Amino acid sequence: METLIQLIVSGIATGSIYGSLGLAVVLILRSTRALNFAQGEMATFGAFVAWTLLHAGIPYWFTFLAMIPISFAGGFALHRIIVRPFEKGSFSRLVMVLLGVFVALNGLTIYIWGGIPKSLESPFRQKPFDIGGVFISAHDLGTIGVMLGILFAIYLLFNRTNLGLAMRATAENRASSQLLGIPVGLMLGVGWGLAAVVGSIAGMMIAPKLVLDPTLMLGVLLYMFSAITLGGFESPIGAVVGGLLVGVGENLLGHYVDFIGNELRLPAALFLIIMVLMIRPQGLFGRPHVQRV
Amino acid sequence: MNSRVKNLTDKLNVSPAALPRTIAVLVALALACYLPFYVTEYRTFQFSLVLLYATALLGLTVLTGRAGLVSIGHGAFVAIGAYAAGISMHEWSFEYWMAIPFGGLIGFLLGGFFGLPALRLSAHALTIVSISVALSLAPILKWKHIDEYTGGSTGLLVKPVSVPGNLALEDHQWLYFLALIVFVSALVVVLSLLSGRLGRAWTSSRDHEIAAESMGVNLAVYRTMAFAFAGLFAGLAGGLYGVLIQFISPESFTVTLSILLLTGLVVGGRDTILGVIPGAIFIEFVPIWSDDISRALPLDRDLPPGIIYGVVLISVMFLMPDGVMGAIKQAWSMGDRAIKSARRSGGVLPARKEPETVVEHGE
Repeated sequence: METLIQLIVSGIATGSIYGSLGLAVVLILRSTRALNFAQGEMATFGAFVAWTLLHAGIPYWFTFLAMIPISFAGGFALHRIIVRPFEKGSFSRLVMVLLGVFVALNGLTIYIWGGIPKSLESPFRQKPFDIGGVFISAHDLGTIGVMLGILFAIYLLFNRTNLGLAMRATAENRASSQLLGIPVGLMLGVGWGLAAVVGSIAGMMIAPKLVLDPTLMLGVLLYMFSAITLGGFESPIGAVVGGLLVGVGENLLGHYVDFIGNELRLPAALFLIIMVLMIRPQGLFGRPHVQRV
Repeated sequence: MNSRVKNLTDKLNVSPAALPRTIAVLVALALACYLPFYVTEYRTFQFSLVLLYATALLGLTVLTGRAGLVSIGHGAFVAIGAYAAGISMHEWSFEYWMAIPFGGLIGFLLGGFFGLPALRLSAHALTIVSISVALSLAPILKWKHIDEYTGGSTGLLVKPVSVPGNLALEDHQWLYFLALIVFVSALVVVLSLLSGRLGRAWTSSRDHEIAAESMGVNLAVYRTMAFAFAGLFAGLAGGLYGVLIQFISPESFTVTLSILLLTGLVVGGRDTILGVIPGAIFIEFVPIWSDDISRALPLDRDLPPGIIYGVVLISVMFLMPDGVMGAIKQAWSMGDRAIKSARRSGGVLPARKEPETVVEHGE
């Protein structure tokens, strides 16, 4: 029983990371109409920048706060410089460009910080909490708190502010928004900046659990994709719920199903993706894809 | 037109207009055959790899260039072909010249299998599935229940190839010719595929799938076929890989390979068959060039090739979306038009003489 609770809590923690990254991808998908393959690498890059700041002696929570504007600027710049010229073209062109960003960012990370793993400390205490015999990692609880906080902040931004409304309008109908005077390019850039912020924070949360090296997010990438597939490609709520389900499910399957064990977790995620696309392609919260002739 | 040329083209059963191109192809083939005797062993090996990548790129040209299905999982099919060939050599004592086509066959079957659900997937879903396949292949290959066949993380050693008895060739030269044979065979198959019904169906389904369907193109069948043929060529390339490198492991076939192949496709020209050669040269030689570039620039460390691939991919998409071959074709046709219009307007160039219809004057 204790193991079950531990697995679930740990699963919610990793799930919140998958969900947040998935949310970032869904936001960009809705606004820029592109699958941001580079999301993982943006997160890794951000985690490394945070590491640099931490090792320059800046206290953790100052670094955390500093990462917000820094990553935002990075994401905004990325959109303006690289993505913008290709927005009007075909989808496959944009996909190739984003793949190029993926590879280039990965290479840049290796170049700047080298391939040797570094360690990113957790700001939360090392000793687990003992709650009635169940040991729950403080870092997991902290991760859940931070990521849920971010998700809540994003919810407030989109649903309670004018900026959020403008961004939603841009994603919904770009042409009409332009006619209304909404600066579409700016809105898209803000979307990318947000995605970068979410990515960096997710990276900072997951790095203490894994190893901080350039391959940090490669594994997470697949889980993130399964999260947004399960939730529905264009649904922000779906991304979050999907992420939590994938996080918990991955832990439970890996532990209780001997067949899968630790080795086949990634292929299990692939299997999930295929199953969802076969049975219910729009995922849990998406709308069925309708083609107009 | 010169009557001697006319006699020649009649005898060869080639249309006069295609004569320059046919000659060019023959010359290129001759040069390719001459190469291993002219350059060093290492260079020959590198060009064997170029032919390998070119074969894989033929598959990607069909799938992504012609049929418009962006796949980031092509490297996984190369891996499947490599492992199929390697395992067949280990478990069933296949000879290499059976194992390579076997790799192609397994690639064809599995490609078709993955293509079956492709109709139901939107473009986004397809790219996600393809990259997921590429990401999950390594854990599957390392799985403990099959690792006695796949060699797990330590990989499989492939028996070295011996040159057929009566040929006066060294090992590395024979391997090069093996790669050349595989590539040329694949090229012939692709040419006939793309010029026929399949090619037209793929073009129409890429450009406007709804219109294509309403014209009677069965999207499900043609998409499955696209994946199957992509798998075929990738599998052949994979089999070649095992034979050339003599060692296959899960680490040889990461997502990076799939992205590399896409980059090569884009550099060469997405929908051009000839583009596979510049694309393959790019894939093989960029890591070497990136070392040279790092040394030329005042950098204190080696530039990871990833940066170069990424920058090239983005630049090519911006500057030459149709790749090297596309740029060459554009330049050619622009020059052609310029000359024609100069002629017509009585410009600098003299008008061409009209073809003689009278008997020649004893040239």
